[in-house]
Amino acid sequence: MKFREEFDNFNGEPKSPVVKEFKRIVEVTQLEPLDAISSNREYNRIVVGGVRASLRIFQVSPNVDGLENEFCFRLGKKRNLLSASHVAWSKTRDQCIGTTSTNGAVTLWNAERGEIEYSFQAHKRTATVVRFHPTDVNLLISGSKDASVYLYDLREKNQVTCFSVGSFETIRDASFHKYPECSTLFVTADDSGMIRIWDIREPKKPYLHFPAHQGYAASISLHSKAPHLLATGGGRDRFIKVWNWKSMLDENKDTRPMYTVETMAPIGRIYWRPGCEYQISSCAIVNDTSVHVWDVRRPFLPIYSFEEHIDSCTDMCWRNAVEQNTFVSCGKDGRVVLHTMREAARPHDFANDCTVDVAPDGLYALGVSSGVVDAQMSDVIDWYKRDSNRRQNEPIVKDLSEHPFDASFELPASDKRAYLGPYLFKNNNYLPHHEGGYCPFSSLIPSEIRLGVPELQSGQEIQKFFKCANGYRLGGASITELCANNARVSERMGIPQVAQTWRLVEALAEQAQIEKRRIEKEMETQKEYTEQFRMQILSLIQQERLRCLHAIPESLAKCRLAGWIFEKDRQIAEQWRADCPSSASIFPTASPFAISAITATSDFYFGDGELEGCLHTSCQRAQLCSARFPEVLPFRSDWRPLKVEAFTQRDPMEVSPSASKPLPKIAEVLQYHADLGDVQTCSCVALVIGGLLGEAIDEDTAATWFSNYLEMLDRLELFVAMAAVRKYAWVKRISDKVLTGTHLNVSCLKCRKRMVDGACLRCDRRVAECVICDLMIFGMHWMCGKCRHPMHLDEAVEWFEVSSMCPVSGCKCQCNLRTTEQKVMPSRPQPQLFFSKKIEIRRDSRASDSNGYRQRGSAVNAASWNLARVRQRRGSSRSNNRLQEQVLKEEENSEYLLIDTQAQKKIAQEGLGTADEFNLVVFHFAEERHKKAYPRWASWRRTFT
Amino acid sequence: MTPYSPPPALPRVWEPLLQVIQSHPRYEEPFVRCINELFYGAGPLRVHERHYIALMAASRHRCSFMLNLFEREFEAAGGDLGWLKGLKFCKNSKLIVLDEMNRLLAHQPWLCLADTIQRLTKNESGPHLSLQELVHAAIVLSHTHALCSFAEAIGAVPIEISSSERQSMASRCEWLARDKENTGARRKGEIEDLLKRMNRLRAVAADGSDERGKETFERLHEQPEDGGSGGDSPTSAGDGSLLQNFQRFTGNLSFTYVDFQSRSDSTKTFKIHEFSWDQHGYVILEDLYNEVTGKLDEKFNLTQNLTYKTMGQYEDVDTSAYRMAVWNYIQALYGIRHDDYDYSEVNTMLSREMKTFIKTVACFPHRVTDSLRNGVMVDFKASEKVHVMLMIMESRLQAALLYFTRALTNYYASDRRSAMR
Repeated sequence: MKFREEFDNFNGEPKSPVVKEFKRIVEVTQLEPLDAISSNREYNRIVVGGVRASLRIFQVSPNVDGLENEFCFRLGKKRNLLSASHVAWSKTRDQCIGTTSTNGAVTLWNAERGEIEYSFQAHKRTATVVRFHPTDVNLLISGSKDASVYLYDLREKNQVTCFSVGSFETIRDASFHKYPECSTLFVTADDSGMIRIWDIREPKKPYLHFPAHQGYAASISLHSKAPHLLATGGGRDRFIKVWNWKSMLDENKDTRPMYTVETMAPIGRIYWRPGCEYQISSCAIVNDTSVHVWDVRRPFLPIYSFEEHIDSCTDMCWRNAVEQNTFVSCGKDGRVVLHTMREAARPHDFANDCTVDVAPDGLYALGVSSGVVDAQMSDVIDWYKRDSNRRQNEPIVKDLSEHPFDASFELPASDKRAYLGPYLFKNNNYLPHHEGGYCPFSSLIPSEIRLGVPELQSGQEIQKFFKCANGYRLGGASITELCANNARVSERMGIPQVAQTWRLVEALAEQAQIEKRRIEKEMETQKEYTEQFRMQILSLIQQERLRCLHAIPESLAKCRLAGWIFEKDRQIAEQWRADCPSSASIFPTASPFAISAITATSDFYFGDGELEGCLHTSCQRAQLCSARFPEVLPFRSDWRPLKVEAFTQRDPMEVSPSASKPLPKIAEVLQYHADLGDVQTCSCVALVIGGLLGEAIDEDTAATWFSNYLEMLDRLELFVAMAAVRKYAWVKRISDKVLTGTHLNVSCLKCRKRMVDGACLRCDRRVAECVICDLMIFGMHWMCGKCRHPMHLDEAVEWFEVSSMCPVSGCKCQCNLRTTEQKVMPSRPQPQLFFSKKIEIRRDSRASDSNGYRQRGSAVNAASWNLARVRQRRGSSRSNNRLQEQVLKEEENSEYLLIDTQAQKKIAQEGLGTADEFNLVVFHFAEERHKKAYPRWASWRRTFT
Repeated sequence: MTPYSPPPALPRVWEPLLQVIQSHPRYEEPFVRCINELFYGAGPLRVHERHYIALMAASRHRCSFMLNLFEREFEAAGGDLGWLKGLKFCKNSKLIVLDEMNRLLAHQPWLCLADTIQRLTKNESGPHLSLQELVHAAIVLSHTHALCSFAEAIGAVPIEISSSERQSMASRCEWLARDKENTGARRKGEIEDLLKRMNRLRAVAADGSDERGKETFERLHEQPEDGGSGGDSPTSAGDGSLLQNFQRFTGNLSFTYVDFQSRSDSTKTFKIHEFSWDQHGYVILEDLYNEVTGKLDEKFNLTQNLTYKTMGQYEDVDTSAYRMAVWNYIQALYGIRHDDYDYSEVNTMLSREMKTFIKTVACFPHRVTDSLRNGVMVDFKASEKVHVMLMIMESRLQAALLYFTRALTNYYASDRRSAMR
């Protein structure tokens, strides 16, 4: 059966010479997307395969400038079996072509006869890649979607070796190593972004693996000359990374890639350009139809781009190292294209190499690559050449006042500086741009830098701007004061017209009575704010109460409602306490909830529409959170411009008509300044006057002024002035920036989840629960510095009127005594003099929790910690009180608690437990050791006993 | 790494859906984020426009719950109430031309081609949309279609309707409440049977021949389903007035789903290895509208891989075969073929009733009845049923988006072709 279409050989006659037409771009057909390409060793024939069951061979013309369709494999009935997503032509066996297929079969074809030689069926899912071994005739590997790589040996067709790590990630690419010393290694890239290097003798685990990309790794390529370099292309992250895999075998491996190139679109395949050390070619899957050749040292712009494809290019194939200027690519548009470097587009040519920048003091600099501006520069070159006064080897960029082209620029008189360009001329030779091949990393790029200041400005301007910006006051006092101060500042700076403006503004503002209105506004908003805050806290408290109500048995709930919240009736509360003596905390008095806004009617709760039921679901809680704080948080003076009609004149008859509208007058003045370009004056005046100016100027204009002013201040690094502008700006867009980064998330200690509304989202722990009434505290609470028990303010006040001990039963802290006084206690010397080791023991907020002791300090040792635990254990068998007392006392005296290892032994042996005895023990041992050294200690001990 | 922020809360109208989804908390979060970003977040279309487009989409499937929801949201977002009278009252002509895309994506997404996109973006004489707007609109449309499927599947009831209406519709959500306590009391032996079949499948090696694969793919659709396709008789929501309600926002309600095998156009099967979500679809959409694409991707992955390893009251079951069967079956309904999957497994895994249920939910959501809902997956837990419904929703969405993004790619290619000439 003959499969070759063009073989004119029915009777055995030699084929008549067919005129072959070689085309550079061969369009097979638009309906056949082509997916993979491979060439034979001599690079005179190419095989191309596509998923829609096409497999073709092309012939390359002898002088490598065209392709011709040689023949097409006819696939017959088994079309679908052979939708080849990848092809490979064996470099060792000349007629052997391997293809993959969607059912996992790897098929070997005979190119001569055009038929299938053998088909391996080892994979369970689609096979994605097939590669032959570069030197060993019999080996080939294939990877597939079932996350395994199979190695086939052509001599023993039944024996396949499976390499798999047990993951479920599709293998995207695999490649054998080309070097004799690594001939048993191959590399795979898969969907997890990991690169694995396997040894064919060791199928159980990879020789080396490392993560390469975020998302899947699409392609691998090994360098033709340097065996340690491996390039990988990422799918979604669009990077090409070059790795030195041999360095990763060391212990202290550096897992960063050597080079990283960021491309524009997700990568399909990459290949090193043979013969060029630094160049990689890549094609993209979607969004980009060109083939790019990148220099790895330059990450963002390719050196060469080829744009002949209409739909995305899927694969390409370089010629060998001898002739590295051509390659063939195929794409989804059905085209096979032979590219040559001559026809490449060079993006570097269009890269912008002209820069401008402005120094903070107003000096402009312009940098131009003199190679680009050939035409204009030729005059300059002539001029230079003619200038015989110039010495040899001088930097080209110098004193520019002599330069004839500097007509528009004027160097400030004091600033005749010589600036050196980054690249010096050598020997006064002018290097044309592309002479000798452009290599961006090794050739010099002649360029020029020009400096100057524009005509309109002089260098002094910036100085004045700077000093005024620092000197102006924008708020915090009455308008009259501010204007007067600012007028003085600007007068001193030598800009009298601005000073005049300030005085004018002062007068006009006085006329418009802005100050008075502002003060009124401030009071109003303040009241409103406090009211809102209180309402917010109130609602939180109510919700909290409802929540607690649900947790309490019904019989108690009524009591509690009645006894606590509504009436300040101590007796009822006491009755409640008598009924339930086992409660954890003491309620000595009926702690009245002193939030006076609550009206004591029973309807208040059950008819309250906003609180529907208990708030247990996260959804509702989330809703609460979002409704947490209203947006109006006027920490700054909040302005709402009054309507124009609301403004009344005090004495309209006295004022002349032209000045009857002071605010628009001010706006006019500001506009004048803005037209001049003096944005400093406009913004500062606008800020000083405040939000009422919003009547005369629209908000967007003001916002523009403010933001431009801020930008200028930013360049001069006047951050304090910027902060002042932001603070007093009455445009929301500007002033909102002050709020960024001011929110802190509080997270729960135990479970690390966020705390919202004072409660942990996950484990429901509270930030502060009042120890008197056992409800969560919103708003201010009071906490004793020593025993750290939080209480509501009013309840604490009521409590401490009666007793001086802490309300928590068992805590003997004298809360009303201040800690600082305790430190100075003459009868107790400072024990730290005696011991070398010291540790601090601090207490957790819950003193009743015996596990709340924590240790800090650098000199912690295990023995001491054990001792502390011993103490705790001992403490827990008795009541906690003693321990607390003990620690309290010591904390009062000194911040340190000192423990000796010998004391530990003593305790362990003799089982001492009581606090006093313990104390004694500690010091007892100290005494033994240190008696001689510190005789004074002995006397202390006597007093203690 | 962006700092963690809690998922934003959706308005109350979404409550009925969220209540059901809460049985899968891992899914809930990306779902909430995605909906929030798509309907309320930053994007090329304005908020009330998005809700209007969603109205158009919901009326395609005659889903009154979604219609109600989006009507309220439209009002809440400040949309012009006059538009609610009908599509022709809408002043924004861009939305009117989207009706064609709406029709296609809802019922026969394989008809969405490069031409459709070209007509919408390069219309010289009429209203045209920018590419970003079109992508946003297409995602809103297809997501709403998927949500309609889900809403009808669970029998969602709007939360704020009058009590009388509520009583009549009360039965719809009861199945969920009832089933929550289902511990397999009514044993029909369904699960045991299923487990046996799964084990058998694992033992059998896959046959390599591709011919058989194609056959089984085609035969998948031969199983007699309910009422066939194309039949337009509205069922439970029977009277003409309701139908008119839906006709406000979309035209040609008789254009509905046809079986892919019996389609009359000449579209070829969509081969997933040529164009997949992971490699192609995701990247194309991300380029144009990246806020939502990441979240969509997360949802797809999560739904496909979510497993609690239980099935009814059996623990530690590898449910991947079952999940894959459901997913691939739905995509096969829309003509997407996974070449390396053996479609005969679908018939093994899913019973006839199950296939009917899935097909009805995915393609004709308005025909889902209580009996249908209660008749399938009786031995499974309610949360597992919900999981299957989520899978229906997500795979349907993915199918529509795959067709749309492929049309986009072809549109780009044809653009280039004409530019190169």
